[in-house]
Formats: sequence, C-alpha cells, structure tokens
Amino acid sequence: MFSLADPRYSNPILSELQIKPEDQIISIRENANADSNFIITHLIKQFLYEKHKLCLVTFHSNVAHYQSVGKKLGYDLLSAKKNNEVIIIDPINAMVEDVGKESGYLREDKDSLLKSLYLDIKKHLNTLLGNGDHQANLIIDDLSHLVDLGVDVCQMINFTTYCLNLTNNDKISVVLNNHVGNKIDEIVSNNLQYIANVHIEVSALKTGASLDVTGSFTVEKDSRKRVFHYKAYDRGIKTFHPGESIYHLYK
Amino acid sequence: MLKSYLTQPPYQKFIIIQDTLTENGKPIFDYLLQHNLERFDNKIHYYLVQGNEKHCPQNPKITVHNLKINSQNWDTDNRINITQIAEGLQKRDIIFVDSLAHCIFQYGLAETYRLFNMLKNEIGVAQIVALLHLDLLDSKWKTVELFNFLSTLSMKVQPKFSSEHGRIQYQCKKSGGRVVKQIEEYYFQNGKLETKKIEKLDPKKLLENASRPEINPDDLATFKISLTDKEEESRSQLVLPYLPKDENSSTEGGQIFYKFDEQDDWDEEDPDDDLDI
Repeated sequence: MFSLADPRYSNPILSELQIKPEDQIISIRENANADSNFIITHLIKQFLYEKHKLCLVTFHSNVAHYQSVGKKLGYDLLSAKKNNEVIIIDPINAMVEDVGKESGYLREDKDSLLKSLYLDIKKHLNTLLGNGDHQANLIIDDLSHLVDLGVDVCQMINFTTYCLNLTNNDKISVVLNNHVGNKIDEIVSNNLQYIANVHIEVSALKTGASLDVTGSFTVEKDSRKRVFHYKAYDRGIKTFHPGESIYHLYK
Repeated sequence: MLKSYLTQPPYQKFIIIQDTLTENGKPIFDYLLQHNLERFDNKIHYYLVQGNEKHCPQNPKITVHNLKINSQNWDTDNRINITQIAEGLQKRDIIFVDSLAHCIFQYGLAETYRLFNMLKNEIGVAQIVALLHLDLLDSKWKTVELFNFLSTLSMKVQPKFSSEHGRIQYQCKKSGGRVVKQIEEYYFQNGKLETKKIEKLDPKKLLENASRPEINPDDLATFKISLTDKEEESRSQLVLPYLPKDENSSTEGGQIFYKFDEQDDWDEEDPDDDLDI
C-alpha cells in the first residue's frame, strides 16, 4: 500500500522515473532545444520527501530559480538549507565574488578549478552525512558549463570519475545532468550512460514544436527503455505514452 | 575462424574489442575472461578504469587494480601507479582492461600507447584484452588506427544484418605476417561464444524475396477473365453485323446502308463488348 501524499507514486514524473535508493548513478542527457530542469527539480522533491541530505551544484540556474520552482512543486529549498538538509554550491556566483583574486573557482588552471570544486563537494557531502544514518545525494546541474569554462574532455572525464567514485560509499548517490551541444558534451554524456544505473534523456519533439506536447524523455534502466511524452504546465508536468496526448489533454 | 583465433594456440598477444553503447562488447570481454580463468593457471590482472569495483569478478586468480581511485592525485587516497604495476608483471600474466578510452583520458594518448607497447613487446605478457568504446573517442585523435597497429587481433562489434545474430568485423595479424580481415556472425550458446562465417546469399533468392510477385487477376477471380489465343483469334475474325460490308456481296431482301455524317460521332468500340458474347 502507498499513500497518495507520496510523490513517488502520485507525481506523474516521479512515478515514471521510479528512482530507488540503490540507483546510485543517475545520468541525465539534455539534447538540443530541450530543457531537463524539470527532472532535476522533481528529483529534489523526491530526495527531500525521503529525508535525504542534498548537495546541489548549480551552474545552470541560480538558487532563486530552484526556490520558486520548488514552491510550486511543494517544497521549500531555502528552509531545507536552513535546517542543514541542503548545501548549495553556486560556482558561477563564487567566481563573480572572486574577481581580482587568484583563488576559489576562478582560476586559469582548469585542473585546480576542478580539484577545488571536487574537494568542496566531498567536504560538503561528508558534513551532510555526519554521523547520521541518512542518504546523501549530489546533484550537478549541469556539467556542460565546465566545458564552457574551458575544461577539456580528459579533465571532464577525470572529474566525473572522481564524482562517480563517491558512490563507493553506499550512502551517496549522484545525479549528473549534461546538456549535449558539442562533441565534448557528447563524449561526457556517453561516458555517463555506460555506467549509470538510470539514464534519462530529454529531447524536443523530432517533428518540431507543438502546443499539445512539450517534448519527450526516455528512461533507461536494466536494459529496459521506456519512452514518454510530456506537457509542461505552470505548476507541474503531465506525462503520457506517445500517441496518447489527445486522450490525456482533453479528457 | 574467429573463435579459433580467440581460444586456440597460438594465442593472440593483444586483443582489442571495439564497441559502442548500442553494440555492446562487454559480453565478449567477459567470455574471454571466463575462458582464461577456466583454461589457464596464469595470473590475471584486471585494470579497472571505468566500471564499478563491486561488479568486478571475484576469483583468487584475478587481481583487481582500481586505477580510478585518486587518478589525478587530488585527494588523500592511495593512488595506484600503473607503470609500477606494469614493471612488476611476469611473462605468464594476462591483463584485462575494462576501458582503453579511459586509460587515454587518464594518462594521455602517448603515455597509454607507450605503456601498452611496453606490456606487449618489452615485458611480453601472455595476453592483453582491452575494451575500446568508440563513442568516447573523437575520430580526429586517430586512436583506433594507432591501437590497431599495436594489436594482434582487433574486433569491432557490429549490428545484426538480415540475420538474428550480431556481427564482428575483425583484423588478425598472423605470426607469419599475413593479415586476415573478415566479418563473422557471433552468438552465445550455453554461455559460450560461437562464431560462424556469413553465408554468401544467392542473388536470385535475394531478388525473389526483394521483388513483390505480380498479382494475376485470374487467380483471384472465381470466373474466367482472360481469353486464350484461339479465342482471341476467332474474336478478331468476327465481322460485326452493323458494320458496312462489301457492295459485291450478294444479299437477299432489304439492306441498310449507313451513311456517315460529316461530324458523325462514330464509336469504334463494340457496344456489346461487356457482354462477353
């Protein structure tokens, strides 16, 4: 039996994703002209519901964005941060603050940038885990911004390997989002897909923009691939199997 | 033939399995590992650069070297030096590498090539088996060409084509210097890899299958539609009664002469054609 208040069953996205605690590596591939942010915000909802600790690395959107989306989805990220359930790393903001100094994330040497980012993530995850018996999740949204900062493909793969090594601790799971816009992004995304327990791919419709369907996403787990269409609304997402949009939207 | 290259002496020194996300070469890699475990007493060194240590095969003959841990020396964890391990190897040892592409990312292309060249030629280990994920490489790097030069057997997993089995395109360098290039089908039977030559298809059969048979209306209808040659001939000889005839012909009784108007609408078709008389 499950409760209707449980978003893992009642929420259309989370019920389709079916993320379990043993899914330690979740990779999200965001193809061109698509936005996978809704997957991240829904996963945050699930992790907070499950009383997991969360380390969120925000490259793509600022904290205010996650807070306002979270309010619409029914969680309060900033109050969770106050309660030491969530730690947010905002490297882009930190870089702005570091202008004029040769420290923090703003460095010419990309290896040092990645090293300091990884060590910060590790430190925060250790803080979150503490001595308690709870799970901790790392979410990076998204890796392609590191490529934008001038990190090369080898450094990217090595950085993701370090992040994935964190899952050697059974209490830690990682969610790595990656926008695919060039060859490096594609290699990084393929690398994640090889080892991910769950691989989610968000794409725009091949047939072009539509009023009824925003895009499609696939969920690949244990060699089983499921395809869904979705329609984004102001306060949530509706999902349906391809070809069922009319039935679901106008019933 | 491919199976004999993989499992029978003379054993290949350096086997590369090229695969992609859609055409997975891991089952072949796992089969070779299992085959080596069952057949030989050689010590197997498993270089883990991509996968999860929890999923590594557990066997006293296998030593797993987790090269992923602290590869860039960012952390305080113990870092494994791959050159040191390589130098400590013996000639009878077998090496399995779960991703050659990750070795390149970790150590660089030149260093990785130098390392595998050292393992194959200087130390002369019994066998090296490596997976190479093609979708983690940029064709500009020429990685495949470089390692094909170093390998003795290079296999590329390919999708199925007009058969239920997948295909392997391989290039094998024999000890005499001859290079064999071939494509074979592969499948697993009772956990064992089986390969077979692709049978040459008969072009006639292919054409028969490709072109759709012509539909003969006679076969579909319950009545006779067409005419035999004899029937066609007799029909052509029939003089229709309403057509003008020769004046010389002697006829008795009354005659009808049809005189055409200047703009007469004369239909040459037999008005009774549809009656099939």
